[in-house]
Amino acid sequence: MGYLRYWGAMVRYAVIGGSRVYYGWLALLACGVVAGVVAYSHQLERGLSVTALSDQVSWGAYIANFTFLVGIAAAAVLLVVPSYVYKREDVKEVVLVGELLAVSAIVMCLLFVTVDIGRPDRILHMLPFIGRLQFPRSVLAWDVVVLTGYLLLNLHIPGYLLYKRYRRQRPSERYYLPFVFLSIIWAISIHTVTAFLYSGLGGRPYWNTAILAPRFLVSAFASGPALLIIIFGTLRRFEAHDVSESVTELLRKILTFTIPLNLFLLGCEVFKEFYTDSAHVISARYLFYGIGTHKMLAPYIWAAIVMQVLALAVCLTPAIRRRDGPLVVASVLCVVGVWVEKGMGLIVPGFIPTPAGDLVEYTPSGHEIVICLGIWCVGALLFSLMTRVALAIQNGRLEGR
Amino acid sequence: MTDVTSRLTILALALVAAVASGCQRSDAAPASASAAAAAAARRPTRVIRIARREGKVREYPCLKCHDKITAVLQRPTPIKRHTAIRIKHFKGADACYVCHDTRAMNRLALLSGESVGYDASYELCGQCHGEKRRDFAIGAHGKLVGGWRGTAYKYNCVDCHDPHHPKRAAVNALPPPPFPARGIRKSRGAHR
Amino acid sequence: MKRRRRRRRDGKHPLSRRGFLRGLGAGAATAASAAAATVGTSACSTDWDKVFQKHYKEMTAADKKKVFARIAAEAKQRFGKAVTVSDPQPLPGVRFAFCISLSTCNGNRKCVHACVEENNQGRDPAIQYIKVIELDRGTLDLERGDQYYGGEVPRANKVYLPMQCNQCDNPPCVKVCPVEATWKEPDGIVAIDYDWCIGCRYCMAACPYEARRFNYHQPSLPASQLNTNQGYLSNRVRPRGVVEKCHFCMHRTRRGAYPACLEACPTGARKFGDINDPDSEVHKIVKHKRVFVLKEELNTVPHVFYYFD
Ligand code: SF4
Repeated sequence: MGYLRYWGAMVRYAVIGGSRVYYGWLALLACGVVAGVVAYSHQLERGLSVTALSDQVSWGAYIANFTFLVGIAAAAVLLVVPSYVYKREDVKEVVLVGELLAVSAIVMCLLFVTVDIGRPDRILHMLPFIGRLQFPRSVLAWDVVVLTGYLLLNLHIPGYLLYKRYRRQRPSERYYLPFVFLSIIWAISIHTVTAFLYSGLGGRPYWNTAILAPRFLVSAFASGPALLIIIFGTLRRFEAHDVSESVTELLRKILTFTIPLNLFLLGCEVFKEFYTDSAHVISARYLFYGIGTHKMLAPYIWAAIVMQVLALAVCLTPAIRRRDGPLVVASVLCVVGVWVEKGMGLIVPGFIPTPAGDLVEYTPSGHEIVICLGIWCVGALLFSLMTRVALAIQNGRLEGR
Repeated sequence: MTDVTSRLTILALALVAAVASGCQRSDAAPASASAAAAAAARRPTRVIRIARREGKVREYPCLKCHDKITAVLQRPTPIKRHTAIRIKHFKGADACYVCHDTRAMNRLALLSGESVGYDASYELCGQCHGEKRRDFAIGAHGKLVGGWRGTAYKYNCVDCHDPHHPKRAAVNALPPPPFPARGIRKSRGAHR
Repeated sequence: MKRRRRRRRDGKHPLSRRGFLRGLGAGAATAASAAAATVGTSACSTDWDKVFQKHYKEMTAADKKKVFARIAAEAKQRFGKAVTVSDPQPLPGVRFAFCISLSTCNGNRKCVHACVEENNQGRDPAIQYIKVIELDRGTLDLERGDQYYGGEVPRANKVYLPMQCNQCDNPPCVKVCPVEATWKEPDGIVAIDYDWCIGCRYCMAACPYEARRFNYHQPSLPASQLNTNQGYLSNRVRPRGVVEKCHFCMHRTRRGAYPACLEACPTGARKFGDINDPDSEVHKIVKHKRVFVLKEELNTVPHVFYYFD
C-alpha cells in the first residue's frame, strides 16, 4: 500500500509543478512521440515496405540507432564505478542520472529492435519457455537477454535507493551493492555482445573484425560522457540540479582519452582496409570515397571525423575546456560524430557490396526518420520524467511521511 | 564483499560454459555407421538409361529410301533431299559417310569399323570428344530427366547438339530481376 | 496425381514422367506419415489459433492437420482455388546436393523463372531465389559480376554462375536465428517455418550467399499462377514480414522428383541428387570432377558444387 502511494507521489511530481521550460520540453517530446506512433502505425499496416530497406541492405536506420544507444546505456558504468567503487561523493550525487540514462537508452534499444522486425506480433516467440529463444547460440538472443537484464539491474539499483531515501531509511548494502558490481560487468557485456552481433558474421568482411568490440566500447565511452556533459550542463543551466564542476571535469578527462583512442582504432581499421587493398576494401572505399558518383555516406563520415577532432581540441585547450558553453558544444560534436560513425557509418557499408556482389545504396525513408525521431522522443521523455522525480527525491524535495 | 566476488566469479564461469557448449552444438546430425548402412539397403538402385533416339529422328529409318540409293561418298553441299542439313563440324567430318554406315544404312559407323545404332550415337561422338564422353558417362554432362531417385533418363548428345552443326545457337535470356531503385551500375573498373 | 501441375516444356521425353512417377511412389511410402490437408475438411480458424500456433517441430500430427487445413482454407479464400498443403518428410540417409556445370550454363535464366512459378514467390515486387551472375572469363570475383545482364546469351568471354541457397552443413543463418525459425533438416535442407519467423533479418545479414529474401510487401500473386501443390516448409504462400529462400523444392524432391529449376534448365547444366548414394550423378561428379564451392574459406560447407566439364 505504501509502495503504491510512493508510485502515485512520483507520477504526480513528474507532471505537476514544473517550470514553463519543462512543460514546453515535454510538449515538444510528446509531439515527436505522437508523430512516431502515427508513422509506426503506418508501418504496421503496410509492413516494412514503408522503409527504404531492401533485400540487399536489410538493416538500416533502426539498427544503426540501436547500436549507438547500446553504447550510451553501457556508458553509465563511467559514473557507477567512481561513485560506488571509489566512493566519490561528487559523482554519487549524479550517478542516478547516469543509471536513468541507461534505462532510457535500453528502452529505446528495445523499441528500435521491435520496430525493425517484420512480425512484431510474434514477439512472444522470443520468450523463453513459451517461445523458442535460441540462447545462447544466437547472438541476437544473447543481446535481448543481456539488454533486458541490464534494464532490470538499472531499474532495481536506483529504484531501491530512491525508495529508501523516500522512506528516509538507510539503504542496506546487501540489497544493492552486489547488483552494482554485476551491472559493471554487465555494462561491458551488453556492448561487447552488440559488437559480436556484427563481428561474428564471416559473410560480411567489413564487420568481421576482432577490434569491433573494443571500438564499440571506446566509442561508447566517448559518446556516453559527452551526452552526460550535455545533460549536466542543461541541468545546471535551468537550475534543476547543481551538478558539481568536478563531475564534468571527470567526464571531460575521460573524453580526452576516449576520443583519441576511438580515432586511433578507426585509423587501424582504415589502415587494414586500404593498405591490404584486398577485394574487401570496397566497403571502406564506399564509406570514405563513394563508388563512382555514389558518395552518399562520404560527407557524413568525414564530417564525423572532423567533429570528433574538434571535440578533442576543445577538451584539450586550456582556455576554454573548463567553460560550460564550449564544452557542451564539443560534447554535441562528439555525440553526433560517434552516432554517424558507428551508426549508419558501420551498418550500411557492411551491406555494400552484398555477398553476391550487388551494389545498392540506402538512405532512410521518411517513415524511418519519423519513427526514429519518435523513439528518441520516447527515450528523452522517459528520461526527463524519471530524472525530475529522482533528483527531487534525492534532494529531499519529495519525501514520504 | 569477498562473498559477492566469488559468487560473481561462479556466475561468470557458468555463463562462459553455457556459451561454449552452445557454440559447440552442430546441426549436422551425425549418422551412425549402421544407420548409413541401413539407409543404403533401403535405397532404390539408381539406374540411368539413355533416352532413345531412334524414332525421334525425322527421316528415320534411313532404309526407307537408302535401300535403293547406292552409297557413294557424297560431298555435302547441297545434299539432295536432306536440304535442312548444313554441315559445320570439324574439317574431317565433311561427308555423310564419315559417320553414317554405308553397309547398314540404319546405323552409324565408328572409326574402328564397328557399327552402332542411333540410340548409342554418343559412342560415335565420344571417339573424338573423349573427355565429354567420360563426363557423359558419370552424368556430369548431358541433361537428365525423370527424377533423382530410381530410374532416370539421360539425353543423348544429339538431343541437344545437332551433329551436323554442333555449336548451340545463342538464345535470348529471360528478363533479369528489376534493377534496384538505389542500385549502383557497375562499369568496368568502377572500383579498381 | 492429377493435382500435380506439371509443366511440359518440349514434349520430347514422355519417359520423364514415368521415371518421375516411380520416384513419387517411393517417396510417398516414406512420407506416409506426412499429414496432408485439402480444402473441404472444415477449417474453422480464429486469429488466436494463429497467434498460438506452435513451432513446426513441436506440432503433433493433429496440430499439423489443423494448421495445414487453415492454410489451405486461407488460400482458397484468397485465390478461389483448392490447395494441398503437405510436409513430406526427409528420406532416411539422403543428403541432397546440387552440382552446376559452369561450362554448360549459358545464362538463359529459365531456372530463375521456373523457380518463381513453382514456389509461389511474390511477383511484384519480384522475389527470385536464383541469381545468375555474368562474370568475365578469368575471374570468379562476384563483386565484378553482373546480375542484370539481358539480351542474347551466352556472350563472348563470359561465364554464367547461378547462385542460390547452398544448404550449408555449417549454416551461419541457422546459428544466428534468435527464435530457431530456421534449422537444418536431416537431408541437409535448411528449412524455415514461415509462421514462426519474426522477421528480424539477422539471417539475411549472416548468409554469405545472399540466398535469403524478405517479404517487405504482402506477396502478390495472381490466382492463375498459383501452384496448388504446396509444402508447409517450402512453397506455400508466404505471409508478409518473413524471410524465405530456396529449399531445393522440398515438396518435389522428397518425393523423388528433380527440383523445378533443374527440369527447366534447357542446357542440362544442373545436376541434383543424393550425395550419399555412390551411384548418383552428384556423388560421381564430386568424386571424379574437380569441383569447387563458393567462399569455401568461411567453412560453411556448402552443398552446391560448381565445376567445369
Ligand atoms: S528473419 Fe526469421 S528466420 Fe531469419 S533470423 Fe530472424 S527470425 Fe530467424
